[in-house]
Amino acid sequence: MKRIILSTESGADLPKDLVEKHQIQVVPMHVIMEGKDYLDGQLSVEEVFDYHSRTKKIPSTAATNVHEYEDLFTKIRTEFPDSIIIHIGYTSKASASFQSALIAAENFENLFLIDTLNVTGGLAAIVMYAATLLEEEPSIEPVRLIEKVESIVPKARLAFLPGSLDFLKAGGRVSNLAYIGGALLKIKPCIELKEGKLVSTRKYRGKMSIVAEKLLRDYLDEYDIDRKQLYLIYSVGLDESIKRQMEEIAKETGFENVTWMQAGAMISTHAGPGGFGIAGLEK
Amino acid sequence: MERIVWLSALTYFLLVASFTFSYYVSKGRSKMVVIVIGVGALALLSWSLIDNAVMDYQDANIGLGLVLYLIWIITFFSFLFAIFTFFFSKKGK
Repeated sequence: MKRIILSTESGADLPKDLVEKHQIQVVPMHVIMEGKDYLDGQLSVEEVFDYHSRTKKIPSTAATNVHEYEDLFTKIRTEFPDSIIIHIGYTSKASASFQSALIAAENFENLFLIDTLNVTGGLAAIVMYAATLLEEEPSIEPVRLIEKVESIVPKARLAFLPGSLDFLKAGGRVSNLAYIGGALLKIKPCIELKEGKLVSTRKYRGKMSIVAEKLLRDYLDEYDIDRKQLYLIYSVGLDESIKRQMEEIAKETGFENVTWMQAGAMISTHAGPGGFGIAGLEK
Repeated sequence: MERIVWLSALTYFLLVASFTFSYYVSKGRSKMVVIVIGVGALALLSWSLIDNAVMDYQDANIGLGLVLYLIWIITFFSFLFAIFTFFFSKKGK
């Protein structure tokens, strides 16, 4: 029986312990700061925030290239010669990474690609769904596993609130008027993944502790999330008391497991410090 | 129809109706003031709608929403001004 190896991009923000536990292969995406290209993970999130506070600019982000995917797949094949690779990829609607993976995959056999149409916690939820299935049923047929993962892709839900509008403004994602008005009135846009694209769906007004709770309750009202697992996402700077409060709400609404994930540099360049997000899979 | 479309259409209609009314009941310098404020409000609303449609903002229409609020306030006061001017001019006759 051939072993199934899962791979994904660093934009999934998978916690290290989960990566190690399930031996998930992670390929880094890119963060470009001050003209220098860094692999996601080389730069700390604090360095990204510091760069913004010094220059009022945000680093740009770039996709993983074909060569890097070829290296990843070759490395997996060298370590696990008879393996079947299932690459669970970052949304093709917001990054060229998946296209690069498709090109790289042409030279490999027994390699399957799944476009999750999701990022960060949403992508991580799908990867972890595959990893858990594989753990529970190690002899699962690859085709069956792929079918199951593909069927869960439209059920992955991600919503997040940026800590402030500063990073969205620096990235040209909010107008000057929205930035000034939003800052004065403490309005934050809720950003969700819809058909693979990041779109702002509604707005919340007030302190982060209040809006984070509203977002979590609205999210749970809107989506019938599987109570086995919830992923909560934070970017550096989110208050510890808010984290405890969110965890309590999640437990009180019946979630068996709550996993916190820190947004990496790739996602933090959009959300800024103190952002909060939720991801889960619908039943 | 998308909410933003009918809301913008209704805002345009009320703004134009209110300022047309204000223009016809005002006299002298106030006619000029009505034109300046009316054209300014129309330009602001049009610019905001075009900017919002062209740019790929992720601001949940915070900026456009604030502009709409401002335009509704301007429309309301323009309408009040027109009503008062209309009745005072009738009383004067």
